[in-house]
Formats: sequence, C-alpha cells, structure tokens
Amino acid sequence: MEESGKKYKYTLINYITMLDIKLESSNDFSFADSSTRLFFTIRISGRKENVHQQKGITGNWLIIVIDQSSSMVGEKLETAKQAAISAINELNPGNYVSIYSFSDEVEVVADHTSLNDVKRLENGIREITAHGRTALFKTMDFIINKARPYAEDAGSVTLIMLTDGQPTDVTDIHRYESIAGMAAEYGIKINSIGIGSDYNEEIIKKISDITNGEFYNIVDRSQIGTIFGSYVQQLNKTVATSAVMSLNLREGTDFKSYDQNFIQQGNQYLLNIGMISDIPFLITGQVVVPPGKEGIVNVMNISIDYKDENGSSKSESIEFKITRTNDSKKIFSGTRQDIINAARVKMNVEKFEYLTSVGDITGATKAIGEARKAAEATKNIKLIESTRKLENIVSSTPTGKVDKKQIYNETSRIKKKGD
Amino acid sequence: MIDYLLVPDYIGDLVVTLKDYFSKEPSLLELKYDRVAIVGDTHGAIDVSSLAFDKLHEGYCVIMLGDLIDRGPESLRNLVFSMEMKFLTDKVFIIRGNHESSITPPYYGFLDELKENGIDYLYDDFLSMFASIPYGILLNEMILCLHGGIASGEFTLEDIRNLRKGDIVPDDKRGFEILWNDPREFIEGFLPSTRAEGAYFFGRDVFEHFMETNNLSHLIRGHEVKMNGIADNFNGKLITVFSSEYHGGKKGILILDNGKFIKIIRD
Amino acid sequence: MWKCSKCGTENDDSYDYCVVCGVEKNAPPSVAPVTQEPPQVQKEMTSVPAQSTVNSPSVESQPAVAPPTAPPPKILKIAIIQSPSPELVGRTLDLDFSIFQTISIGRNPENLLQMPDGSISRRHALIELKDDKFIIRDLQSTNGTYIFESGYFTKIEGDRNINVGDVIKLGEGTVIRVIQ
Repeated sequence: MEESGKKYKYTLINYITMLDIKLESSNDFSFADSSTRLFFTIRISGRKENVHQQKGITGNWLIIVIDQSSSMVGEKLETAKQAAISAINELNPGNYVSIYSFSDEVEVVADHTSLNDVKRLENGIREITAHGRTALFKTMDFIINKARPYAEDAGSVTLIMLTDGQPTDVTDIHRYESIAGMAAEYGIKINSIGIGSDYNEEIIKKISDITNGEFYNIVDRSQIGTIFGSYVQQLNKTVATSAVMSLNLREGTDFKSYDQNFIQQGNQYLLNIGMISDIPFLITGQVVVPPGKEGIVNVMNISIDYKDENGSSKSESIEFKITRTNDSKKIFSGTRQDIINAARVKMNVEKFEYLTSVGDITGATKAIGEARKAAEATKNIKLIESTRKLENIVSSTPTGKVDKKQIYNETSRIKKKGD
Repeated sequence: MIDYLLVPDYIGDLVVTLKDYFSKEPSLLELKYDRVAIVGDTHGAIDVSSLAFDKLHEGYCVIMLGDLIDRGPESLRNLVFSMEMKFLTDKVFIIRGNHESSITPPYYGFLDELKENGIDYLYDDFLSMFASIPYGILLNEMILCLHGGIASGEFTLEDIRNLRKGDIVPDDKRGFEILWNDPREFIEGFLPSTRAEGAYFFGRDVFEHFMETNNLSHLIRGHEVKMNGIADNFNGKLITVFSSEYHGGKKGILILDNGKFIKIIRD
Repeated sequence: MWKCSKCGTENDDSYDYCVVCGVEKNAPPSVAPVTQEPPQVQKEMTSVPAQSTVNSPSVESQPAVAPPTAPPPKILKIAIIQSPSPELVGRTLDLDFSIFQTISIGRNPENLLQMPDGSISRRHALIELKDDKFIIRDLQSTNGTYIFESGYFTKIEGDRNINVGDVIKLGEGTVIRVIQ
C-alpha cells in the first residue's frame, strides 16, 4: 500500500482564485499634513488554475447589430454579413448569439439562439438586404429591452453594432445617454463600429462610453471582419463572466477613472466589466487621501463579483492601503514615476477627448501636448505614436473642422487598450 | 458471450465478501495518500468509473463518493465492477451515498435491474452491504470526503467515527444528514431541505465553523448535479464532484497530486 | 505656474495637485520629521475655477456622463436558495418596484418572476410594495407559500410583511431569500 506520512498544506490559492487583481499606486505614502492625490492602475486578468480545461467558459452572449440602411448597399453590407458569418462559425458552441439588422425597423435574424444550427443562422444572415433609413434609437431601445431578462442570467453580454449613417429617428444625444445608461445597468457592453464619414460619432461613441464598450472608426471595410473576430476570440477564452467591480471608498475621496465609466452610489462606484478573458482589463484613475494622523490608511476597497465556469458566484477583493507620514523623504523616494506617467497620459487623453467634443480646439491642443509628453516619458512606442498622431490631427486642420471620427478612434483605443 | 460480471452466484459471493470488507473499515476511514483520483456520483456511468480506475496503474488510489447505483442504465454493472476493483486492488475506497439505502432503489432503477437479471433475491444482501459502507473518508488528516455534507448540531469527526454500521435507511439522524445535506450560499445555519424530510441545507457560517473546529482544509462531496462536472462553494473549501452520464452534462474527476488539485472534465 | 511647496516642482496653474508628489496646491511646506502631531490642515475646496484663457472646465473635472436622475429605485434583491433548475441556484435577482408596484411569481411566463418548478402554481404569489413596505401574498396556490420562522416553514395566509433576511418557500421545490 502506498502511504505517505507527509502532511500537506492544501493551499487554497492555487486552486480557487480565478482572477489576478493587481493594483499599483503612484506612491505607498501620502502627506500627513496635506491632501495627496495618488494615481493608480488596476489590472485584472484570469488565472488558469486548471491544467486540463482548455476551452473558455460558455454561456456567453454575443449580439451582432448591422445597419442595413440603403447607404450600406453593396460591398459594405456584404462584408458585414460575411464577418457575422465568420463570427458565428468561430464562436465556441455553448455560447449564444443574437443577430439583428436595422433600417426603418429592426429585423430579427436570430434571437438568443444557441449555435446548434449554424447553417440556418448563416442563411438568415445572407438574406439581409439594404433598404430604408436609420432608426437607430428605436433599434437600440428594442434590443436593450429584449436583452434585459437574459442579461441577468447570461454570462456576459457583448454587443457589436455597425452603422454608417446619421440616425433618422432620434437625434437628441440625451435620449441615447438614457438608454445606454439602462444597458449599462443590465450589464450589456455596446461596442460600436462606425464606417465611412457620414455617421454621428458623438452619439455612437457616447453609447459605447456609457456602457464601457469600445468605439471604432473604420474607413476600410475589411476591418469589420478583424474587429468581429477579436471579440469572438475573447469570448472563446473567458475565464470569468458577469464581472462587476465595486470600488468602495474608505478614507479616500475624489475618486475618478480616466478610462472606464463607473456608476456612483454614494461612496461606492460600480463598474460593469463583463467577461474577463486572457486580455487584461485595465482601470486607471486617481484618488485623494486627506490629511490626518500618521499611520496606515485604508483608502479604498475593491471587490469583484463574478461567475466562474459553473455559474457559481464568486467574489475576490483587495484593499488599497497606504501610509500617511510627515517624512517627505519617504514620499519622494517612493514615487512610482511609471504609474504617474501612464495615468497622466490617460488623464490628458480624456481631457483632450472632452475638449474636442465641445469644440475647444485650443484647449484640446494643449491637453494632447501634455499627453504626448507624458507618453514619451513612458517610453511605450505605440503610445507615443498614438499621441503624436492625435497632436498632428488637431494641429494640421483648421479650427472647427477636426476629424472627430478619427480622433475618437484613437482616444478610444488608448483608453481601453492602453496604447 | 457470457457477461461474466453478472453471473448470479458470482455476484452473491461478491456481495457477501464486500460486506465483510466494508464492515472491517471504520465509519470514518482514515487514509494517507499522495495521489488520489476522486469520483463523484456515477449512477451507473461505468465508463467514468473506468477512467478513474485507469489511474490505479499510475499509482493512484481511487475514492468513490457514493451513489453508484440508480438513475443510469447499467448501475448494477457499475456497482459490481467497482466492488470487484476494490476486492482486487485494495486501492479503491467507497463511501456511502444516499442511494446506497432502502429508500431509493425501488424507485430509481436498481431494484428493477436486479429483477431483470433474476437476482432480486439478493436485494436484502445488497442492502445489508450498503449499510456496512463507511460514511466518510478523512484523507491526509485534512480533507474530508462525505457524500452530501455536514450534519446539523454540534457535529465533529468523532460523531462520524461513532456512527454504527448496519443502519439500512439510515435511521440515525446524523447518518441520514451526511448522505442528504447540501451546501447553500446566502443562508445561515441549517434550513430544511426540499430534498427530503430530515435533510437540510447548510450555510457558510456553520460550514466554516465545522472545518475550523475539526482542522480541515477541504470538504469533497458529490450528491448534487453539476453540469460542468466539478463545482465549488464557500471560496473553494467545499468541492462537489459529479461523475454521471444520465444528467446530460459533463462529468468530473478530481485529482489530488502531491498537494495540488487538478480537475479532469469530460463531455 | 505654481511651485510645489513640498518638492519644488513647477506645475501648470490648471493642476490642483503636484504632478510629481501629488500634494495639493497651497500645501504647507515640508516639516522635518518630528514626533508631534501634524498641524490640522484646513481642507481647501478643490473646485478652483480654471485660470486658463479659454472657457474650459477645471482640469480634474470629468465630462459629465449623466447617470439617470430619477430617485434611487425601490429594489428588492433576492437570492435563489433552491430551485429544481440547478442553473438558478445561487443566482441573485433584483426586483425593481419603481415601474410596477406588484411583482407576480409563478410557473407561467407572464409572471414577472418566472420560477420553473412544477410544484409552483401558474400564478403562485405576489410581492407588493405597499406604503414603503414589502408584503407577500399567496394566490391560493396548490402547494402553498411558506416563510421560515422558529425552525419551521409556516404557511402564509393573507398578506405577510417580508423583511431582509426572510426565507420563503414556494411550492415544494423553490426557496428564496430576501437579501437586500
């Protein structure tokens, strides 16, 4: 009989934690006699603790929404349809898909369907034809309300929307903000793709921002397939779903995030993360530590509620603590310049984005200059190139005529992807 | 071709022999192994049992968390095969499930299988054997294996050790609860379960109290359908392994290898 | 530009905090590390109007992404302790009473809270928000609605107040708990 006298410490860490949550602060110390602003980055990714499981979690829900207004006729629509067909073929079985097309009305090609009969879905997609106008508001309203009952149960809802024209039903951006707010509460992330030069980038980007989705401006229709494909890849590699972050301020104040949209409830800030795949999810922001007694200060608590591959609810949390001190030397020597630079890039890119949207080109130019300088300090080549590119766009076009679509494409990528 | 497993005389002998084996094992069987393959409810899934038994070649021992019979077809064959492996290798350890009793076999298929094979006269012998199966396994002093869960009241490992063998239903309240209880988040203490009169749901507070008081790191159990084969509760301290086929989901085998847990999941 | 009183860095006027050491503008200069209590510093209002030449908002402000301005909705959060459907066990649901004053529970799809349990009647029970309190009412269901108290599930007759922490059984196979 094989026996062992050894006693094992069966550590829980290797087995059950699904997520790696890493918080880095610009300093571990703050001034005891003054308010101190700290920058921080939070990085969330999955851990593969299970040697034998290769596939990602299933039960995720992909919603594809394609504009079929008459301006989409021809290669644009055909490419979009082909991209949708590739997506449903590549998406792992066990996940769900909805496909809608819209012009004056919404056409339901598939409604929360499993991937058992892909051929039937393909046929439905092939039948989409271009005709009519762009009732964007009605479409979003319809789809968000349809998604609602499933969204609570579903793993994560990832929506990709493609459009090429101005909405013809509702143009008031506040109404779109409203329904996007609802979508965010239901945990639906709306990623949007605007193609061409005729669509309303303010509205589309606002919808994505509020739901924490990504925004893309494309001129070349071949990018549609690449973008769809990248989402499918992520969905196929989810390690956690329905992730919601709750950031609870303790002694910290003035919390802000530069790249994610949190919903505030008193001292608690909620963020719908959705699915967590192998690509890390980044949050960059700041928090202020007030003056007070020297010693350890609990700034904020961050918890993430999510579901694992069995649909079991899990929760992991970390505490963000720093030490207040009167010893300035400790603060100066503890400064993490890399965190400060990364945060400053995003802080200024966000400011740049805002000033661009309100038409303040002078202010925007200054902000992007700051962003570029901070980017240069990070030595991240992609980031430097992106900020330089944006600087060139504003400086080389006459005031009032900046290409916002191109700008938002860059700022969205910098915010969400970090370069 | 003769189905050698189901020859009546052979089975009759095997049942009596295994009853003897089980009777000699304490109600709480204490084992020390570096490498273990743990199989949950199989309910007749002889292919899954075989997968676990394959690990015996690599030097593993196998723990079966009960519920070998009922629900799936071939549950008799699954039981007989597992008994045989225990008899031949001495490295297969079985604990009692709620189906290893008189309550379920008449309704969930086992008794019918005995009838189909003309051996329903052995039913009482089977029940007698079931009643001699240990209630739990304490592995490496830190991991407890039970079929359902912890029992209510001030419950310790000693209580498991003291459970008498030969209790067919079982009538003992604690013995019954060990086979029938389920863990649940969002509750405190014990709540009457919807499964059966005398079964309870237990919450995180009483579970953690039990684990701490008895110096345990993990509780591994079966009893509940898990479509993904293996699931955990209470921050990973409680692991459910489900290894059947009748439920139409995945089946899991939990491997312990020198301090690490590894899951094997099959579609 | 302003000079940081702690580390000496020159900061743009639009910054409220030093970009290097993070201290607020107008902080007292560094004191040598001593054992006495640090002086009580007046917390300055940080909403300083921007000094830059154009009408842009102050640096630190984030573009307002308006959350819904309606008052916080009345939400009853419940956890499903037990259900014949294993996928529902452990799930939590938010019942939003800001739109509907009553939420119906039953087996049929027209119920706002649909519970897939054969022992639950087609229309089984109602939860109502009445005068700022939540009550549950059984709708003459076949197998009853029960609340767990003093160790037993007692059958609910008429209207019954429900509070956070209450455990309710519907029919034979479904148990829910009010968690918020």
